[in-house]
Amino acid sequence: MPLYRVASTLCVLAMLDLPPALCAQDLCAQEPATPATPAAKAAQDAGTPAERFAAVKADHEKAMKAFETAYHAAKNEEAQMQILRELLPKPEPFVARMITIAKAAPQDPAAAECLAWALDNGRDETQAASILQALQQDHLGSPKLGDVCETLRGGGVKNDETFLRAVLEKSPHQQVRAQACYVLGLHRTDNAALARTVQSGDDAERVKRLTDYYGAEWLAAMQKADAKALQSEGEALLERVLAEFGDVVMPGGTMGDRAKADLFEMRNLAIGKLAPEIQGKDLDGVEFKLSDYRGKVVFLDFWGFW
Amino acid sequence: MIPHERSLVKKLENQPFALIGVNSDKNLEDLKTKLAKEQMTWRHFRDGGTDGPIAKAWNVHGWPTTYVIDQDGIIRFKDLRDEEAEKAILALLAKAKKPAEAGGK
Repeated sequence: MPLYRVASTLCVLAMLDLPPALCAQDLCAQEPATPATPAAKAAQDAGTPAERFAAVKADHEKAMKAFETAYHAAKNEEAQMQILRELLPKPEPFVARMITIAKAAPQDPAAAECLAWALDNGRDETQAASILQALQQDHLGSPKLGDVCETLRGGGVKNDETFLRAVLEKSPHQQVRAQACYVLGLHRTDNAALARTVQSGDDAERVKRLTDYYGAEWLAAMQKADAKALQSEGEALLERVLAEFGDVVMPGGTMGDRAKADLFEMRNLAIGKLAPEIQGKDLDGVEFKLSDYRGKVVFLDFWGFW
Repeated sequence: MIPHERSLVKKLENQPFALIGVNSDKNLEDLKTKLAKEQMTWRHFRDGGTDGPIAKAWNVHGWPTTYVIDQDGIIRFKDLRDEEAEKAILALLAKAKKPAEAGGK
């Protein structure tokens, strides 16, 4: 799956201000997959599925916390790199424990949580596809599927559109359906953009990188994809978010706000469009406008020291 | 990003080019101190935070996000950094120069 999807596991790395390339490398330390003693193993297997889910999550958080503490305490870059290699917990053992819990009690609501966590943190594409299948089969009614849709935002999981479609049609939760519709729409427009890049031949380097990642089959599909149709399908789904789910409240605004912002970006902030006016104040409080610089080439940089 | 931007501004100081920041730092005093220290002389819109009105209007969710805008105000490139951005900017500057030198054709 794309690097984007790895990000949730490694968002801590982003906060630590590491170069993104690091996220792609397999720098993570190996966490013991099975407990050392039979007693510890028995303790791990005890409890309800919900309790066991909470226990795995807590174990993972503890391991992340230990890593973060050590990382922040490191004296120099070299020491940080070593801690990154040795202490950053690998998600696989935790993912495996989550899947075990879900398999033992496939109908339990906690199984949906386990699978959602495994999808968000796992890095195995085949596994991701089977997680989606299990969620679609047993948990279409789960409110957790909204988070799953968000996880799928970055794309790259096989058959994810089948899953999103099913959620959009069958979830009883308005919010979950809104998220499915939104992500489905963005997938279409993202694919339209990718198809345009592939077909224009303008950015051979990027196409090569993507092909290395997604494979020749992906490239062939993109070469014959109808970018215009994908774009209008995607925009129609985002329009549907506005019309049908516009009032659904999410952290940081409604689904309508989100869809509106994305549609605005596609329609007004795309290459070839006239840059929207910016009217604001500089750091000394003096008013100025982006259009004051008409006649010049402008490099506009959204940034911060943080 | 910053060292390259600094050299780009210096290199293109006599050309029709402007680097404009949209800054999302919260603390203005802190920001000004750091700008002086880094010798970042170019102009910035103050957006006041990652949820500032300009970042919101431009649907920016990741920093840095960059745009290269041509002489007519048309968006030409998105999210280029450093050498890639410089290449694109130089190409646009060169393109604008040619017709003028050829007698305004």
